[in-house]
Amino acid sequence: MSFLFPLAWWLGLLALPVITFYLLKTRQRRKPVSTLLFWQQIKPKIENSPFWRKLRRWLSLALQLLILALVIAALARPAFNWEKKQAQQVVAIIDNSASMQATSESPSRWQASLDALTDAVARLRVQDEMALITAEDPPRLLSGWTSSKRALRDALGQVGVLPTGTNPEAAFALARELTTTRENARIEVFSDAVWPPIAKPSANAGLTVRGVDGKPPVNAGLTLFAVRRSPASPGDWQIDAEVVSPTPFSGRVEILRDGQPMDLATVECGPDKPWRKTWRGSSEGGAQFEAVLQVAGNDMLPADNRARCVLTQLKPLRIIVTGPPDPFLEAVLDSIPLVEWSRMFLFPLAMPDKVDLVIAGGENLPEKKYEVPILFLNPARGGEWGERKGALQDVPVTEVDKSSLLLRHAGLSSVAIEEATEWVPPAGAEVLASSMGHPLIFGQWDRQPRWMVFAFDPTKSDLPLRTAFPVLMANLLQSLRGDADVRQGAAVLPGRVETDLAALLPPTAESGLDRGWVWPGWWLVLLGAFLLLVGEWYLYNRRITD
Amino acid sequence: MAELFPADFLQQLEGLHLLARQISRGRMRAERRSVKRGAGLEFADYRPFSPGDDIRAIDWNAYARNRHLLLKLFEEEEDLHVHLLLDCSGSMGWGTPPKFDAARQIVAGLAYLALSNLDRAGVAALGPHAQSVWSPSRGRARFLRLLRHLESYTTATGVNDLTSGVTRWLATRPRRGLVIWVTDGWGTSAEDVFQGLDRLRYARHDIGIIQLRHADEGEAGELGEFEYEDVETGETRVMIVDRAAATAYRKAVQDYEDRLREYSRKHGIAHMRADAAEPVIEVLRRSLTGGGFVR
Repeated sequence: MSFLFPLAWWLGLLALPVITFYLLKTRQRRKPVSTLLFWQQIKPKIENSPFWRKLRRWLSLALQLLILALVIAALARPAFNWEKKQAQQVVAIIDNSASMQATSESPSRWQASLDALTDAVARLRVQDEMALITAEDPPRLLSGWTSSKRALRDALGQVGVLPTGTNPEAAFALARELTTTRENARIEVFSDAVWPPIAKPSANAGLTVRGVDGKPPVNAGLTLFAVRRSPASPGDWQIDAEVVSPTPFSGRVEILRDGQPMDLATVECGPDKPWRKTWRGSSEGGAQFEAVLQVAGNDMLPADNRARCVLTQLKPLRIIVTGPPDPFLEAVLDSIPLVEWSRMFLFPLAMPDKVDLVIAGGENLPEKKYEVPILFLNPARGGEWGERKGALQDVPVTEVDKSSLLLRHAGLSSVAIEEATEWVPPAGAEVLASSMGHPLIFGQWDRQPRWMVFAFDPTKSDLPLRTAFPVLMANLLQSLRGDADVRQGAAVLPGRVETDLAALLPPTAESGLDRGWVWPGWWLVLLGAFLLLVGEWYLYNRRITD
Repeated sequence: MAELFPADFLQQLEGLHLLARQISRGRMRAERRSVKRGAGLEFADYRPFSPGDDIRAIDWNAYARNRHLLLKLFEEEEDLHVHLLLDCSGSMGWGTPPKFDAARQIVAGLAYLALSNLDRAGVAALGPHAQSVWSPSRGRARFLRLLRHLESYTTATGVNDLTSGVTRWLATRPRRGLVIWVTDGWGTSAEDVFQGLDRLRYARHDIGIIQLRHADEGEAGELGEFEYEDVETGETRVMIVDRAAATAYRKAVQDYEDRLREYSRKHGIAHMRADAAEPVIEVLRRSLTGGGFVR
């Protein structure tokens, strides 16, 4: 046991006045009476414990001094060994996402969570430690491990609610790193629990979620409003909208395109019954869409009643095809919208500006590295794109990487290839299709420089006669447009909402920081002093002697 | 004298005297006769004639009927002697106002009633110190002198044995009569007052006792640790008083007073308990109406 405030022991000097006052008190007040006759009569009744009578005065003084000692010991903040073993280390993650502005709690979820966290800080004991993290992107470490309540309060004063969503996964990762530095450390999340990572029980292991209470808030909101272009036909776009309400809701959603009304839809939804609607259209130009949820009654979170997404304008892809004419390839390129291609018989010595792809084959191969993506169709020699080996005859496609976006909807398994070339791809290259271990389509398409090799001449196979060929080429070209051209509009809240706007755990759920009341040692010492005081008072009133 | 016996006190005593006369008229006339036989008017008894007897008392009619000389006896009428015993021990000086003031006023009132009734009233101070005795005398004219005499009485500290005080007074061979003892009844022991009353009974006095005390003398008072000092003897005793002790104290006082009341009832002693703070005239009125102090 140690004392955190040993200077308090100087208060032991108070024992001197206690003893002085006790001695003064034992000098009884004189009280004149008309007779002692009756005191003498009852005296035998009260003299039946002479030993106790002699002991009482000194015992009383000893009790008073012991009480004083215990009170001083309590002020000296004793830290018992068992208290040290019960020390708690908690990493508190604060959800400051936009949904915390909801006023389902009074005055708001944010304030309720902040109050809960402030309360948890106030209950920290000397041996406890806490670290604070906000789930921003990237997560912000407000305070490292500390026992200082003042430091934690100051850190809390720096936090505000964000107008957007947050990144809980990164915050969890940082919190887990912090827990590795302390034994038995815990993570507690102060949130309204609308985070999908918290909502999933499997991902919730090891987390203690403390948040707002579970009463369903009165709030209807747009949980999804996104636009995306068709991967196959980039001119086509689709808008998806979703409205969720934990209580029965009836209203309307107005869809605006570039500020002009586009549609007005009636919304009917309720618990476990979200409202969804899709709009489709075709346009190569860009547009800005906005959804406005018209709510007639009370709504606790106005921020989710309006959402906006942007459809960017498509630009045509410029492609250079080298080598002799290839009618199949040219037909495919003509069929894909927003593609401008030109033919060069030799591989260009200087790459023209604004070229998005070069399709090279045979002997027309680059002599140096280019930044422009290149599709090699049965190259005649090796290079950066791999080492050429011998020839293969009647090659079936036996393995296809179905997870690749480039091969999506492209059925290559039934393609018959008469002649192919055996290649050894360079390290880091990704094999998309192969035959008995011999790579047929491979390349490096997800990082610069981009290149892709077809280890066979399409004209020496039935690939151009199959739908897989235009699909494959469309996927290839569509991937070149990148995220800038096929951007999904962002809804107000991150991703699809997987829970309703209610806490997962009621506020009474077991939580580390308020798991019962861990009696501090000084409190127990003070309790002992109080019990002694009661005993002394009892003895003083019960015993009578002279 | 004006402080202890104000003018209105004397007027109230006069009113009390009228009340006493009304009460006396309603009683039997023989109630206050002497036990002596002598030269009275009322026939009492016969007894055989013996030589030397007054021959004028011989009942000759009886002699004519049965030839025996019988002597007629008559009750001798005499003055009633009222002895007022005043407790002058130190305990009587306790309280506010002191019990001794009320006791002297009660004695004065009783003396006035006796003198007004043509009885002889005497006052004796029983205490640790010697004080002059007011011998029984008759006549209301002596009342003012009696008051001055009462004013000269004082209380004194010292061991005061009630029994020995009574014994000393009896040693003066007072004439038998009505003895009214005004005291608080606190003796040196629990038997003290009873032994004193026994002595008076053995002397064949008619006895009345007025026990005068303050109401708070029956309570232990404030709880706590005190050094109690007996104002009579100066003896001290340290006591820690809690509720149990206070209850025991109250019960001891109550038992003592119940015992005194029972003793008085058993032996035909007129007993009355009075509060020292109670108006004296009211105490005297109670003594007339219910105390049995009027003869």
